[in-house]
Amino acid sequence: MTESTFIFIILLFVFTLCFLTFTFSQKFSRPHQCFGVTLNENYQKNPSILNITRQFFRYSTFIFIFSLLLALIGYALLSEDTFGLAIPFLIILTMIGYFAVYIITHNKVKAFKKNLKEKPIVPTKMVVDTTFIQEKLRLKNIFKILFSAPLLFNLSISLYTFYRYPSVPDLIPMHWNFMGQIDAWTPKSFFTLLMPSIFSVFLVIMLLFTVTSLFNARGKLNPKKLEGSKKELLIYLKCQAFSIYLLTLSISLMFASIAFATFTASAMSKPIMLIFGALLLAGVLLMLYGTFKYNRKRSPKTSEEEDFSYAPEDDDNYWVWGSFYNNPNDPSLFVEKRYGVGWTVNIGNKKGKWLLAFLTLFVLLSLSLPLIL
Amino acid sequence: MLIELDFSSQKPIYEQLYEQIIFALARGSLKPGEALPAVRTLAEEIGINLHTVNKAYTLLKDEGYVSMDRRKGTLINKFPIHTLHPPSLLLKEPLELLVAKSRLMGMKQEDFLTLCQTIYSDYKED
Repeated sequence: MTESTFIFIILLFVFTLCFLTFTFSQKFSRPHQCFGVTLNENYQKNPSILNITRQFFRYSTFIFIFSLLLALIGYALLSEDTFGLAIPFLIILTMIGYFAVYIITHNKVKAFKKNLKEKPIVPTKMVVDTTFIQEKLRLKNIFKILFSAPLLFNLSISLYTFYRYPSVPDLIPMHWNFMGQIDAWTPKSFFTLLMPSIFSVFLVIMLLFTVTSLFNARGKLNPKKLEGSKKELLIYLKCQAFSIYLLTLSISLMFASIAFATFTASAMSKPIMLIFGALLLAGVLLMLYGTFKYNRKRSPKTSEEEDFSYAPEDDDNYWVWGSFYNNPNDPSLFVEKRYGVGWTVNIGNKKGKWLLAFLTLFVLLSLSLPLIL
Repeated sequence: MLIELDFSSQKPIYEQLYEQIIFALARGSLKPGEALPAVRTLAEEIGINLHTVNKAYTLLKDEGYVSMDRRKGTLINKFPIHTLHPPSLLLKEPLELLVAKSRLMGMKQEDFLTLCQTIYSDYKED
């Protein structure tokens, strides 16, 4: 199998995953959220909403076929190296396509809501449970301790690099192909040798930050079944935090094996590659399981079970395109997304603006790095 | 402690927060020596400005229900709390308004007192 074929298969996999996650995001979204617009569940059975949904499926299928064509064209026309470099751009192009489809649908639902004669009832009451806050703080501290293990592991690898530096050959491997074989070399320097472990330390800190933010994020409790919703939400948070932890372990292990393969100028160790693949898969599965379970429990079966609890993020006015939350009065850094699963940054406060700027810079840098090198 | 807030109410959020904490203290869901949630934590959980929570906490501090410690946060004071003036003097004004309202609504003195008694004994039982 040539590398081009390998890239092509990976691209097919990524595009299918993109299509599936994007198309079924609405199914996993919070109840009362219809393509990023707060809308009562009853309205979601309305013929015009059903029509909008059908159109959405048609559009996203079109983007999916388009992305497959792009991959095919890349495979047939581009050389191995350019095809490899083109991957992120092909993926970004597809993402932009999906996002456009989402915005078109979002605007249609918004227009539908505007034309409604009877405005949907908006909950105005909120219940905050301080024992729930305390439990979240306790879990946050536990995860801080758990994260110290991969952090110390990565730091010790950085130290070990200093110790090994004199004995490392002058030419070190800097890239491995998908099969784990070395395909690029670079002269030895502290920068090239330390890169993997520094990058890894940085990633672990970022992921720790994500987990602590997860426990700081607002938990929406259902006032009608307080204890039940508290328990469900805590299980969900634990699943998310543990899956991020597994991801962190996987990344640490991957960078450690990169560091060792660099010292010894050897191919990547297959068993270790398998272990970090397995950890990654376990993390993803745990995240999916937790989310699926939580969403099934949370969707109200009867109108009486609906969680009539106020949250500032339920107000459409604070959202741009139903995807960006902009509320300067809300000190929260993360709020639950409206479309799909997970959290989004509040760009209304200073902290959120910094994080957004930082993330954009990070993405741009990691995209341009392979082009520079 | 459960805090219930109504965002459609005319009453400002900081006042609702202040009242909810006083109810919780009187019911005993918060014990002397325990800490209230940190200002930032509570503000994030509700989704309101830090100043709003701060205002409620400062009001509680000024009236002597809690005291602020730089390291431990906002701690609940021992009951009965220390007040500069006797409670009868402090409560006279808010109670006077209620009595005036009850008269205007045509409430009898006995009925008013019975209502007071019922509410008072509710707190005793808990």
